[in-house]
Amino acid sequence: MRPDAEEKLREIFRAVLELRPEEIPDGIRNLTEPRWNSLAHVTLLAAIESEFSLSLSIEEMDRVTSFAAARLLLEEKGS
Amino acid sequence: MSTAGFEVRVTHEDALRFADLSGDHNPLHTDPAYAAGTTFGRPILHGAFSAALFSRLAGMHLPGRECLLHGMRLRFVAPVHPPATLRVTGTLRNATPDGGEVTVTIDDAQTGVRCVEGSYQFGYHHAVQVGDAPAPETTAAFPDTPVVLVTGASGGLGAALLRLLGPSGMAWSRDGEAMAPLPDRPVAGIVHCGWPKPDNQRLTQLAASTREAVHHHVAAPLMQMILLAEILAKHGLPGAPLILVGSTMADPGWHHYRMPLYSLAKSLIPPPDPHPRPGVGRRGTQVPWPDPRHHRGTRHERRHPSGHPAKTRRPLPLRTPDHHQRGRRSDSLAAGQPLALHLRGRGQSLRGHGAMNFLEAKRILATPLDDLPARPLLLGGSGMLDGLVPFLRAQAAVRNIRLVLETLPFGALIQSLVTLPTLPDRPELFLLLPWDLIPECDWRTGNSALVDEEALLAEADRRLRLVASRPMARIAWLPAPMPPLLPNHSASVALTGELLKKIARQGALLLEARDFSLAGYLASGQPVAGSRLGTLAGELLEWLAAPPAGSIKAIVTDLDHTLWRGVVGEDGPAGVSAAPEAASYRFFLFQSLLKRLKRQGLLLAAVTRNDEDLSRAPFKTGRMPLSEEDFVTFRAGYGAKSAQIRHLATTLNLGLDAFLFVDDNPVELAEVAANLPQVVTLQFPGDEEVFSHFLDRVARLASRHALTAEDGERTVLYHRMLADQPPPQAGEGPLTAFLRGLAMVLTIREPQAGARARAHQLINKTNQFNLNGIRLAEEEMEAILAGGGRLFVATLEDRTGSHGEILACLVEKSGRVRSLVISCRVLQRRVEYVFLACLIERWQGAPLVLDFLATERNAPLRLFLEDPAFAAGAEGVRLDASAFREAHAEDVSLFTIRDLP
Repeated sequence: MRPDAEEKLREIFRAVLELRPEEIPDGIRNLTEPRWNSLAHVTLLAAIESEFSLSLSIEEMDRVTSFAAARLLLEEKGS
Repeated sequence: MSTAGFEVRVTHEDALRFADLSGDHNPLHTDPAYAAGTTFGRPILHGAFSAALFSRLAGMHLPGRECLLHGMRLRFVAPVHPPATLRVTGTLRNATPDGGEVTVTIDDAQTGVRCVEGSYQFGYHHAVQVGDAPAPETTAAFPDTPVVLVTGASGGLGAALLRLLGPSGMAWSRDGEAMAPLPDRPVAGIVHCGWPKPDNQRLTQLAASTREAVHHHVAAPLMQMILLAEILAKHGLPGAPLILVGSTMADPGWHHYRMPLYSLAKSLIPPPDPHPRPGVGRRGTQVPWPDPRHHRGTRHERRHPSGHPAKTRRPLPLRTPDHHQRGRRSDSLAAGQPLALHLRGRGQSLRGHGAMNFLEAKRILATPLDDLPARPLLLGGSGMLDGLVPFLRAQAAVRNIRLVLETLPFGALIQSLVTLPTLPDRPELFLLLPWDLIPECDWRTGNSALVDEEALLAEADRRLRLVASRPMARIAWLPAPMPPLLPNHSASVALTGELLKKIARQGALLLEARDFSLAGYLASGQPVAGSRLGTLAGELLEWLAAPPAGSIKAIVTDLDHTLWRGVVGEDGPAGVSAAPEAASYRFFLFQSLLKRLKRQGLLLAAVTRNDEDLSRAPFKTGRMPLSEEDFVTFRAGYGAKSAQIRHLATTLNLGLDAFLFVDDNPVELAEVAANLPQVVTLQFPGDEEVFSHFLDRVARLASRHALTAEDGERTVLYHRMLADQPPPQAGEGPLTAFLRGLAMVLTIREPQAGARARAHQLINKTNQFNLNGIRLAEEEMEAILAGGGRLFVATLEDRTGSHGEILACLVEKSGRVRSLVISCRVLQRRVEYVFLACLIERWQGAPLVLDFLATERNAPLRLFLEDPAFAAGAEGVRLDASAFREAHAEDVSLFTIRDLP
């Protein structure tokens, strides 16, 4: 994954989950992150689609369960 | 001008309390015995007491709740002897979007004696956008009333519940890790809207993180419920219940639609209170929406400082079926057309603020927006539209608007249509999908029943009427594909068309099929494709701000590069083209449309910087779809086009808001938009990509329901009317301020040998602003320079971009100006005056004499020479250098002048 794309993804996580400045998105997972609620999930997916100009299938959407998973998915999709 | 006031009874006891409060126990105010020995005879009221009455007037009346008092000035004209009844009266003066000044008088209500005169200045404070926290005063106002705690009140059911409960409800939530403090009130019950729904299947699949998953899905929610039970045990009234309601928190991606009870509850959510108490269950704050009629054309207005809600909430007439036919836009505004979203750059580009991605939107929203005028908007639709909200707000911010959005709860569209009140100052935007009209075709429900086509269409009509009957509603149609519903497949396909037909007749904005995402809709109910959110938000706002269909009666059009390809002053009447071929096609199509619009009663007028005869010449060639007679008038002139249009409006006796102005030049458009904000402006597209949108917009503005015989004759009637009018006097108009805003930079240099090709080309190619039309061979030019002459060229840049090298001037050593040419595209910017003033400064030699010759086409130059500083003589045009520089000092001040070697 290109470094700028990865940084964009971090920014998206920071913005959507309203992370504090010192928090690093890389270890975030939806199971353990209380701020990752259903609305945040929908926002996150829309933000990824918007930022990277792509459409995700439901299966792909379901895979976005952590920062690492989102990163991997974007990498597979060529970002 | 607004006036407000009140009467107040002031007693001696009040004066004593004020003395206690302020610590000013001066006996003149408090001790009757002491006061008796003074010239006043009786105690007089503290002067600061009157100041407090000023404060009351400001904080409660003028401007009321959002007031921020900046300062006050008081003069005590006569003493106030309590007891007395005082009449406090304030009059608003100098109201601006950011505040205002109020002059105040305090009179004795019985005697009429004026006691205090003065004034105060105010600005506004802003209520903070509130999610779920209740206003503290709500709790404080009812110290002993039992309270119902509601968790999960940031949206959906919890928020709706809070609205219903009013002061008896209180949002209660985790604030980060800590819990919010409990109220000092007995708890009558707890409604827990965060009831989790563990997904057992997922739990067992997550082998590595089972512990975390169990904590997140099971343990943490149970702990919450134990905590709630403890609260009940400690603070609850006897028998106070803990009620668990369904959840959106359960599992990302698994939304309401598998939870029928939850969905049912959602559909029963009552509409939001149109007059909410601050802070309770509202997304955003309500700001009075100014009467649009007072606000067209200014960008920064904010609200009526009068603060009389009754004034802004007067009932408005419903939209009548023939509203498209109404002539004056001001009429349709009165009928509640939601046009008051007045956006910067309206109409100047078709896709001005097109794509915007998520992070860009976030960045825009992270900047302070408080100084922007707030505009409410209700966003409705049955899909989950939350994803669109930040993009709408960001796109609005780009257009200098702070959008205050209210959204309908998921799945609550139809009942909201019935119960939601219409507010005259709040536009409504309904983003509709096919299943909003035909519920059976909702992809999320599936449909296995046999359906009756007639019944489906009747239901669609009924639902569409519900939307269309709302006077503030505008519809945008998201043409999502429909699942095959009918036994006959062709009929199923045709059903899509039937819906489209119905919706188009409502004047809806038709979006594109790619704006819809089936995956997003199935997974989370969000119908708009994520990658399209930014663009779509921009289009929706542009469309909301657009004037209503049919509001235009006259089209004023530029000629060169708008009605035909080419510049008639340069290429000649035979050199311009609007033929149905290649790059001329756009012009052919625009002329063809205008011809049709003229037949349906629209008036056409041409404004141009060419002279009139030259402008008319291409129509005499017989190669144009339009003919001279199709225009009511040709306006040729050198001044601002806004001045031409203003004059035209007066002579044709039409309101300025009945005019559409089309030009290819963004500077002309901006000039007209700045000076005549009522006029709708559209840029003629430079390529084919957005051309169909452009034609569609023109046709929409000129839309007519039915034609009469008179419509076709209208141009002839106006011809007769204009024949009796005196010739137009095109004034300059307030162009200077606009030009200053352009921040023009003129760079003058003298090109070296080898870099003079563009200058040579300009001299030999330019026709209109050309001193004498004499072509110069390159050798001739070089010879003049070798003999001590100088060649000047200039480039121009401004806010709209660079215009490149636009000027060439060749001066002999003797001071004789042999050539002076300026590209006609930049003439309206006063470059010619500024350059000559600069030349005078830079030319240290013999006095300048202009080698002028009149040609067929150099009318602009002849106009230029009408400046009183020029004097024609036998040997050329002499120039009074100091008079010229003095007369054009202001023009020079519009430019930043740079010299390059």
